[in-house]
Amino acid sequence: MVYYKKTIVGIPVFGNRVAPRFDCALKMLILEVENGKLLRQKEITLSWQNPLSIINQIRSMAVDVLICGAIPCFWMRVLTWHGIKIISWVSGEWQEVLNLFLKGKLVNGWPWHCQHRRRKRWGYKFN
Amino acid sequence: MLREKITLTEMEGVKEARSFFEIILDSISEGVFAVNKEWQITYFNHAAEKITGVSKEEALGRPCYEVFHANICQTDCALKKTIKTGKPVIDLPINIINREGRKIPLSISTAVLRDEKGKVVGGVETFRDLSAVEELKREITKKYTFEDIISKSHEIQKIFEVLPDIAESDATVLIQGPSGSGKELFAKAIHNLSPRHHGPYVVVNCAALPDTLLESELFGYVKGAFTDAKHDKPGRFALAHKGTIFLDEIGDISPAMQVKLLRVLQEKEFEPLGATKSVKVDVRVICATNKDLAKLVAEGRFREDLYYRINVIKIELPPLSKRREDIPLLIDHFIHRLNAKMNKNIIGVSDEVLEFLMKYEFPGNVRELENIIEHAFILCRGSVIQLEHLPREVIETVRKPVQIPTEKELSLEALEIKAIKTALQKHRGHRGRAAQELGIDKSTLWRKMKRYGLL
Repeated sequence: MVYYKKTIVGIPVFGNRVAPRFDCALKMLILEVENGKLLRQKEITLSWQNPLSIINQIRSMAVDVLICGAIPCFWMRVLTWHGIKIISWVSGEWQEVLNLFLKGKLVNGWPWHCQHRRRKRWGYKFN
Repeated sequence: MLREKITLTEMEGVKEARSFFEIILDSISEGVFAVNKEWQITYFNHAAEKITGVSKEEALGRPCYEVFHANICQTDCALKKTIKTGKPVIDLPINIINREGRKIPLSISTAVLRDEKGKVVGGVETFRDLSAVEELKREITKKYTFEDIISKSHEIQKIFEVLPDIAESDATVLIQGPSGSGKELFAKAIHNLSPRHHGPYVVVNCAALPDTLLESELFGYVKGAFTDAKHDKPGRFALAHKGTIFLDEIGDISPAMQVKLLRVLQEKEFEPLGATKSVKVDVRVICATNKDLAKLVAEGRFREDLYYRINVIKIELPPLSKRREDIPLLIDHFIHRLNAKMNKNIIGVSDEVLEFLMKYEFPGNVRELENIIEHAFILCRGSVIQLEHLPREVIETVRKPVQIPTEKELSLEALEIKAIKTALQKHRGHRGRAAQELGIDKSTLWRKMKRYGLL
């Protein structure tokens, strides 16, 4: 899926790579993309004092899509509740990852994550 | 020619020795992996595959931090430290995220790998799964956090969204919900998220103690206050100073206790039994009850002023029967916890069991579900919980014969009349609202009412 409208993408980073784990990342890139192009970018420091501070920080940045590495179920649920689309279990250099995303080719690295054994079956009823 | 033969034999020997060591390492319960100086995984044993959920083929050649996802990878890598200093790390507690998105507590040890010349060629890490130990610890300490609230229901989501803001304020909170719906979990989450989280968290079950004992328990006493008071004893309010006190079952306290409690909430001070001076405290109060306090106030069984004092922020927890979408999620969570605690390997419940539990009313809510799963866990000897492992009363309740509607009652017309009547009754005859609930237009409702003679 290519994002034509203006979209804010958050990528937690570890050096040049996508941070291997979301809830331990110290830095996050905030990227503004439109029509498959990167318009602006900035880096923020994530403050992990408590879940509240991170939720507020991400909400204040108006992040639409979060591209990250491993992410605990808890964070997956909370961020999804706040309307953020998550592409998780992604690894590699963030620029390569972003290019794939802009082309609409980036997918979840581990599609069954957080969909415990039964969720798939009952999903059609409750999701 | 002879040299070549020896080399071949030596190589075969090395190969044999290598596979022999691999067999040994694959048969131990500790996870073992090795990395080269570029942090690429060069060895990954069977236990490592089991603990992380990553296969050997996937892991080999990949950077270790992208396989392990440990909490120390990005900030304080133990293996990096060991390779740099040459000093091993022993039994360091960490946590990783497995493929299901669960945090797995581990204890790791690291060592440097050197070649025959003593040159550092990488590092090796061994790790043990501490899930069982941590689970037991949690059971004893009851250290549950914000992350332990398992739900994807809309109602809980709404609470969850405001929970951090509630936690940040210092206002008194009233948590109302049926027994077993997780009131204490929410209270603990509020404390953990609040600026008081470094302070104590004191729990008092008001219904568990008789009035006189509750008073001395809450406010403490001084030496000589009564015959057996041989020394001063601080009350729970004093113990919760600079922290949070959780008063469970607040709806069960006597009118006399209600007055005393009102004073603490109003003045932030109290007098221990037998004391002549008041004690000032800085405590945040969270109350919980499974009763409808507003109803108790209306009946004159609960003081109105105390009700308004504690009802600054109200959280209403729905019963499990109103958030059935959480049942599969909770079942999975309990199975995971019990597997760790009881050292079993149960993978889930059968379709029949799930269907049964989805129909069950759960009068005891989440706690009852937990008990049902624990009961089944004890009886289950296979890998999937079957219907015969569930408590008999659950099966009997669900299997209670239902009244089969007659053919007349089952007709579309009869069902439509029933639905219209119910909607009208609910909205006290308001046709607009009833039509909205039924998902039809107001004029369609009027037409149907006319046809069925309901006007």
